[in-house]
Amino acid sequence: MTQHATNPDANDPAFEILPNTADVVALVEDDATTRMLTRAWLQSAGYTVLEYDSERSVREATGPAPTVACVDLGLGEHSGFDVIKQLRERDAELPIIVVTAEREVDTAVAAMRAGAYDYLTKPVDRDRLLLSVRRACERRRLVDRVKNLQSELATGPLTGTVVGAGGAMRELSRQVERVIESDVAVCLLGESGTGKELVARAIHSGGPRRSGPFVAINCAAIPASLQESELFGHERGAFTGATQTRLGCFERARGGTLLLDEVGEMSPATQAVLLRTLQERTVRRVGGSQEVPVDVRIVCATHRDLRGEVDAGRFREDLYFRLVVYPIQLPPLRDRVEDIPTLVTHFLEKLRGRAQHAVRGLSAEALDALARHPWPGNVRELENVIHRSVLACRGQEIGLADLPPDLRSTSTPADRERQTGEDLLGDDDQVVTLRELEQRAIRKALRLTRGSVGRAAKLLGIGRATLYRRLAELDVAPEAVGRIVA
Amino acid sequence: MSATWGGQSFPPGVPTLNQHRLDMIERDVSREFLIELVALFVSDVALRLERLSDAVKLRETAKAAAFAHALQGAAASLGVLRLRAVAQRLEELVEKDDWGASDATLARLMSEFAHVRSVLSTVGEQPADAPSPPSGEKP
Repeated sequence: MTQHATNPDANDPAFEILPNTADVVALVEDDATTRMLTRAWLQSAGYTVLEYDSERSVREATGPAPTVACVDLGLGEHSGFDVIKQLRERDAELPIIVVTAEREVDTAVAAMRAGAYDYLTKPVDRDRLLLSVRRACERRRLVDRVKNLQSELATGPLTGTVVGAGGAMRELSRQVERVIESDVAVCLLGESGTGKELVARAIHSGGPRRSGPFVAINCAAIPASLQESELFGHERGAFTGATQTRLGCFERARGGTLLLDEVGEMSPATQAVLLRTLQERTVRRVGGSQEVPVDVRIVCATHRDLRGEVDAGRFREDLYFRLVVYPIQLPPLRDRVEDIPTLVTHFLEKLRGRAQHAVRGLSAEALDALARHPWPGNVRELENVIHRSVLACRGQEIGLADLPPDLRSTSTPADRERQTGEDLLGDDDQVVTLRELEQRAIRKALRLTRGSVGRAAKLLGIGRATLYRRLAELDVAPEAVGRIVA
Repeated sequence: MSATWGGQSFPPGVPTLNQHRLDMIERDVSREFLIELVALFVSDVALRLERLSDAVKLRETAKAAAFAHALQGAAASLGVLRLRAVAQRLEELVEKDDWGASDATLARLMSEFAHVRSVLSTVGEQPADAPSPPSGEKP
């Protein structure tokens, strides 16, 4: 006998109750009686069986790839180990169940060490055999599924853009896939530093507008008085200082994609103009009278609860419905800690080009500290931490001592919150300058509001424009502070 | 010719068949299948016994041990208990190059096979729901 595949009778009642008739079992057994019996049991359970009676018949096999293999270890002149090796060479993930005589348990143990999935002793019990085969098939399907997902992700829309392969990122990749080909208005929702701009870029570069420009504007970083001019452009002489005509983001993004980042920070006046622009698909530059047609895909992003902003009367509902057709939620880093090692490797690699460092990785303690950190500033904060740690590290491995102090601490975020507040004025024998004090207060407000300038201004009791001015004077970047526990 | 095992009848206390296993095979697959399986077993073992006999006569330790070992696997699958036990004993004796005892055990194996063949010839004759002996094993 060499090899033949046999199918169970579809009229067999046992066939109907079985879960997956696509599973194929390779049965390698030189004893004809045992092989015939095992085959019948497997077939009655719905499996397709490929029979092999020797090491040679396995070597020369050309049939379909099995899901699982049952291999008799005592194969006449040849060892079952040779067969296991051959099967593994063809399919590294193939679960192999070894069958052996009772007094050859040592051999079975060796087979398990060599990577066998399970072992059965002769005479084989039917129920035990079917249980083992069923579990091996389930395992095989799981392994195949993981591989498919990894492959999907490796060729997915976020490849080379967003780092991470955990469940949350796979879901994100699937959602991006759904909207990439159309012009549907996508709203990216997520905390500061979660990679909203990267995802927007992925949507742009994966879609039909990839050959056009990608333009991003951060509405939170532009004073209300300048928002209209930035978005829609202005004519020469439109206002003091407008010495020449300037194209706005809409016109610069023509044929491409425009990212309206932190759209929740847009002033009511600008919201009205934006709504009109989206409805008419034309822009009118500030100080101009001509309508300029624009063909732009709009992607907006915000860390705010935009629906809540509508309910509070701070964001126009009609604009909300124009912008938020397909919302995509980006997971915060604390919800995907499984991606931290991959992200760390990515940032170390990225820094290698810039900093010429010799760091190869992190110690287990340092990695553990990263996993415990709440990451209010998300991936951007992690990148910053890795950069600082690389500068502090003198060896090849970042240790706990190389991490910034707030990550080294075993205290909880709440403890740190209290501690930061108490330290605002410094130690008893230390005098803090007013400038430093102001900087600390602003930093704390931004940190507590996760970088929201509007809310930080409210906490500080000053206007948003004043805060922007102070930020510029004090050289503080709101996004950076919002994610770093100072 | 007879063989002994520690002075007792050989092999001690082992029944010819595990009737329960045969019943299970019939129940799990079909009576027709069991009849086919028994026929395959009988013809296959007859062939293996010939080869085993030649290897013992020629005092070929490795071959004889391998044939005796293979017989055990077939016998275990069908629940032919005493034949399996005798084959196992033969394998042990062959591996010790105890050819005198091996010859005697081979002869015992042959006669046991003749007995098994006779017992198995009745397989499929009795209805599937006929009661089995209380022990579930045929003497």
